[in-house]
This record gives sequence, C-alpha cells and structure tokens, in this order.
Amino acid sequence: MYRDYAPLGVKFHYIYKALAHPEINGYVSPFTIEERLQHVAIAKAQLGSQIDWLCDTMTNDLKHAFGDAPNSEFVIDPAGTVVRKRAWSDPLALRKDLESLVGAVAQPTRVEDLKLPSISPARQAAKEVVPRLRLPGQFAPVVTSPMLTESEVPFYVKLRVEADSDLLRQGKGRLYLGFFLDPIYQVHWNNRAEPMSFEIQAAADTRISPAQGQGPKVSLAADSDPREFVVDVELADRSVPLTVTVRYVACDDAETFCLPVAQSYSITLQADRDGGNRRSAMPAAPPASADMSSRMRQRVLSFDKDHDGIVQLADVPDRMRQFLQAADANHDGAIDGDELRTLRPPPGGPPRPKQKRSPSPPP
Amino acid sequence: MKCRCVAATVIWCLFLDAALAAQAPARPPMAGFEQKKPAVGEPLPEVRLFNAAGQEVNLSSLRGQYTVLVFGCLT
Repeated sequence: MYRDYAPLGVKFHYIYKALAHPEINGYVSPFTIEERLQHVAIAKAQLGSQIDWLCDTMTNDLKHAFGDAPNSEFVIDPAGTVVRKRAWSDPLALRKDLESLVGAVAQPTRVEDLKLPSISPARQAAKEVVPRLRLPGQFAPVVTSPMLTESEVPFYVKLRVEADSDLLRQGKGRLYLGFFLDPIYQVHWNNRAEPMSFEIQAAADTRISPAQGQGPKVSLAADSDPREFVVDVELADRSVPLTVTVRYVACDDAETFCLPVAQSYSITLQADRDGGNRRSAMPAAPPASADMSSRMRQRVLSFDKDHDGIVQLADVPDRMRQFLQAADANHDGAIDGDELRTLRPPPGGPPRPKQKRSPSPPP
Repeated sequence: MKCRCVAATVIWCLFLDAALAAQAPARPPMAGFEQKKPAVGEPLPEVRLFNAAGQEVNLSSLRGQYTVLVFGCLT
C-alpha cells in the first residue's frame, strides 16, 4: 500500500503503542520511553520498514485518544479530519478507501513483489528450564509503577503484577508476581549466584502470605525463564499501595558485566487497562472437555444481541452473569475476544438456563 | 488471531494485497469502537507523541495530505 500510494502523496505512519500481549517472542512491557523507542528500533530493523514510525507516550495518550484498540486504522484527510476508521487494520478495505479518496493505481503491488524480511525473536539464554506457573483462575494486570529514579541501572528484570477478581473486587484474593528478563538488555539469570528474591511491604494490617520469596535454585548456569509467584493478600486499606522490592544479579549475555541489583515497585490494586493480555502467550490450560467448552461458548454467544461477538454481561441471566464476571478479565462489563476464547466450564459444568416449568396439566 | 498484534502482521497490513488479506483469520470486533472518539468527520485530537528519533511531535503536524495511521506493537 505504501509502495502504491506514497508516490501519490499519501503519508503512512505506524504508531507503536503499549504491548497487547506481553511475553510473545519474549518481549515485555517497557518502563521508559527510551525502552519503548528501543522496541521501535528493533521492529524497524527486523522488518526493514520503509514507513515512518511514531511512538505513543508512556501514559498511552494516543492509544486512549483513538479508542484503545490494539491494531486500529485511521485515514485522515488533508484538513486533518478523520475520514475512515476501523478497529482492526484491513489491507483490503484500506486499499478501497484509498482508491475512492485518491484514485486507483494501475498495477497494485502484490505480495510476491515485496521482499519482506522475517522476524527473528530476540535471542535469550536457555528457556523452559524453570516450569511456568499455571494461574488458578482469571487474573488481570494491576497498576505497577517502577521506582525509576531510585535505580541507577535499567530494570533488566521487569515485574508484572496481576490480581484475581476477588482481590480486585473485595480486597481479599490472590496476587501474581512475574519477574521477566527484558530481552532488549540481553541479560540472563546467573544461577551460580544466589537466586533472585523479593519482599512485599504493606500497610500495618494488610496480610500477605508469603510476603517474601526466592526463585528456584537451578543447576543450569544461566536461563531466561520468568520467576513467578502467587501470594495471598488481604488488604486493610486499598488506598495504600504495596511496595515490592526485588533483588537479583544481572549478567549480560556477552559476559561484560554482572552486578547485584535491588529495585522497587509501587503496586496499586487497580486494574491496568494498558497492561495487555499475556494469556495468548501462555501455554493453554488443558481443557476439561473441548466439546463442553465449545458448547458453553455457543450458549454464552446466544446472548450476543447484535451479533458482534461481544456479550454484554447486562444481557445474560443472573446465574450466568455471576459466572462470567469472573471471566471478565478487563472488567469492561463484556466478554469478548480472548475472554471468550479462554472460557472454561466451571466445576459442575456450564451454566444452564433455568428450565421453564411446564404448566401442570389440568386435573 | 494469536499473532494479530505481531509487528510483522501490522506491517503486512500496510503492504500486502488482497491475496494475503483473504487468508487472514477473522478478527473480533472491538466493543463499541465505532462509538469511540475520534468519530469519522471529527478532527484529529491534539495529542503529543514521539517520532522514532525520540523527538516530540504533535498529531496536528500530520495535516496537509491524506494520511494513514495504523496502531500496533511487537506483540
């Protein structure tokens, strides 16, 4: 499209935004604009991109101003007015847009005319050494603020925090802590050193168990698997953030440095709408019964009034709503996309509609 | 659908022709996206952002020609 329409004066901008699915290809959410710009540079280099790239701010101003969709597309006219928009980029539709707005090109570029490079994921130390944690139930990312100014070195390890729906709603539930190596720094866990450790500090009456932990001892000298933990939390005061401090030894893959690091985070038990969904990157939970899951999804979709693939919780029966609220990971009052795809029957089977009693036959 | 946001897919969205598009898996609609701003007919919002060199720019600087904006990320 760029090749066809850039010569006709159309400008193309790829807007780099918050990660939609952290963990895919090992990438984790950046903490600073410099790190996000580094993602842009990696993507540009790997793809051999010719178009201009723009980068959203760390407060995700552009993503919010344009409707929060992960892969949306807009066409702007010369006066700066939006003339086309769609939630998902669609090259067919975009070409039709440009044909109607600018004119058709004589010989549209074909796939085989392009020499697209293939993406090589960032190389990291050994993987699948430390078993991944399978989360019990649905978890959603919460607002996690690294204390950037207190650290003299980059956050080679990045913490991702997710809470289950009980913790988010009632202040009592489970908290996931995932410590991920950031591939842009090309570092690994030094397993010859003391394993990484963390501790959580909270308000006086908040209960956390365990409030500290340590990564596993690994016989392999180095690996790049995340270190994951789940802790039980009972908050005394939601307004007081938790403080998580992590200690680890950071070693780069080129073995030019190895240094002890201590870094802290402030955790607010509030859903982070820009936190992305890492379920797509996780190993799939074993379905109890694929057929049962499929039937349950069909049952849920039967309440999709406008047939757009999104089921509003307000539209389903009470009993089903109670079940679906736990599956509404981003708490937007609807079940869609990944939430629907990862829906699993509750113990005892899928929710069933109430059976209407047949009127008793007249005596 | 798993790789809907992988950069390659996004770049392909900008480059590829109908043949590849026809092979792409159906994508789920976004809840209420059409109702969200900016609507068709509305001006670009005034939002700051950065170019690839890290210099701050404003969206209003994109006026003057037809412009295509595509959102995406590495994952």
